[in-house]
Amino acid sequence: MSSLALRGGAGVAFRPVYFEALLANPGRVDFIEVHAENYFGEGGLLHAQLAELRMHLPLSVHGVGLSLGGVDPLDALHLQRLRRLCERYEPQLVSEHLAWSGNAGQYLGDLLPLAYNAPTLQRLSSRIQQVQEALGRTILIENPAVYLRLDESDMSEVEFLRQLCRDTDCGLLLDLNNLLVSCHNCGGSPDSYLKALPAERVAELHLAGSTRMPIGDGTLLIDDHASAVADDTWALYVQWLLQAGPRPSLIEWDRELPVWGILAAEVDCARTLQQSPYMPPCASREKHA
Amino acid sequence: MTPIALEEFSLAVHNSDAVPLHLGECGEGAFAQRFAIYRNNVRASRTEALRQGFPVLERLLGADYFTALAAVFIQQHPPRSAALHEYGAELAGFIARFQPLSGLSYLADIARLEWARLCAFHAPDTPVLSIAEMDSATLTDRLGQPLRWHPSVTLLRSDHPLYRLWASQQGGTPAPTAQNWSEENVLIWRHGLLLRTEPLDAVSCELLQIATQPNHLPAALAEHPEWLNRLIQLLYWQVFLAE
Repeated sequence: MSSLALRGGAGVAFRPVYFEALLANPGRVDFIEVHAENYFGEGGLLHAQLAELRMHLPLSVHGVGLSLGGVDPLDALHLQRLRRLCERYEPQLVSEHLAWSGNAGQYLGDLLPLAYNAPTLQRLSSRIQQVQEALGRTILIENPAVYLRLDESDMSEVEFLRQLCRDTDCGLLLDLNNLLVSCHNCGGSPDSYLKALPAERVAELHLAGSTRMPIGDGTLLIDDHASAVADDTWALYVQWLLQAGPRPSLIEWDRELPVWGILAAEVDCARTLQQSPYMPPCASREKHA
Repeated sequence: MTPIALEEFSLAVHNSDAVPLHLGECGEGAFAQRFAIYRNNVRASRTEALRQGFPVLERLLGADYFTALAAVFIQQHPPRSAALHEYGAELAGFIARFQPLSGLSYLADIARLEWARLCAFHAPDTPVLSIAEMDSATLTDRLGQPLRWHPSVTLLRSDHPLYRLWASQQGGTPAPTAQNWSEENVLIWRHGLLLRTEPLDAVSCELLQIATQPNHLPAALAEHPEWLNRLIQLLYWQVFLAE
């Protein structure tokens, strides 16, 4: 199993359709990431492929369904399966979301927004600690893409994340696309958000595309993981690199999957920018500025 | 976020009528539009999970009908696990009881077949009984003991031409008609890493069943030596456990 530590580089969200290309040339990427829940089955092709790739590449396990922000007790079976997955593949990184996704025993299948306040912080801290104890490691928490702000919130998202890191010793997975989406939809400056983040806690970055949806007099940005990384996101990536330096950076493309060559070209962009963080002015940024 | 607020939000994304306007920070119209994104995401992710698990059912029903049927099913049987590939266990039973489809009872069997394929795809990698590694004395001895099915194995006995219905949607073979409509058995399992779905004749079904009883196989083969070929095929297909 590849035990290389991840300090930078670029990776892809692994899908079975990319297996042959990755196996033929694992060095084309620096790591792969999988959704934990897709590997909660016990055997078969998915595990055979992952075990094979894991021989050659570092791995990030990304959970989407633990419902850290929920009020139901943490699902013991879910946690047990996550632990077994980590024991089986020894991932370099394990992450989950600042969100909730289930209630009253029902899985809702989406990352739902939280009120950023002291009671939520207390609940989330205790649940993150429970997960970290169960896994015997720290986990990374990802900032969500949000479409509304709840009335009960009385602190900013970045302040909430800062306190969460302090209380639980967790790390952060900074999704730059989500950051732009949330700032666009709910107000706030991406620039201030980046500056307020505890950069030393950020152990992974996510990069993705988004779409625009008309709403009332304006537009909402929708995080759909169905297109190439947006220019605005690349520009913010450059800003991050200049400010904090490289981190393992994932091209997150989960729907309407491109052919391997296109995804690999996105990896090249991230790698190139890590070497030389320069982003030329681009039309889309000027248009939406 | 209080548990009550979370409960209200949760009920409102699952049902389609109410919007918990008082939870929002912005104006009512804007909140409703924004809230609708979450509601659509919740509905879409659950429907998509069913669509991926039951592609033949979707083709037979048509995409619009499948989406509408899924909406009713999701209300009655919401997913309990975040592993969405495990969602849909109740779909066959739901379809069997769904009055508007009562004249098309083969659809419930199609759902059973596709559910069995999902289960087989994710089943554990358990060592199988392999005839390639055995001499005939060892094999004879082993066949005298009860055999167990590999955890990926499902045997479906249908009143309909289930295999031909399913296969006709994979392309290349004609769908059965009223003139050649007959009952069929289907075996679903994982042969190594390969997901397989095959029609099974009555003798092979009988062999699969009696193989799990001590000493039944040798007696059956002594009485019907012509069954040996069928047994060899089942062994070649690796449907039995090594231990």
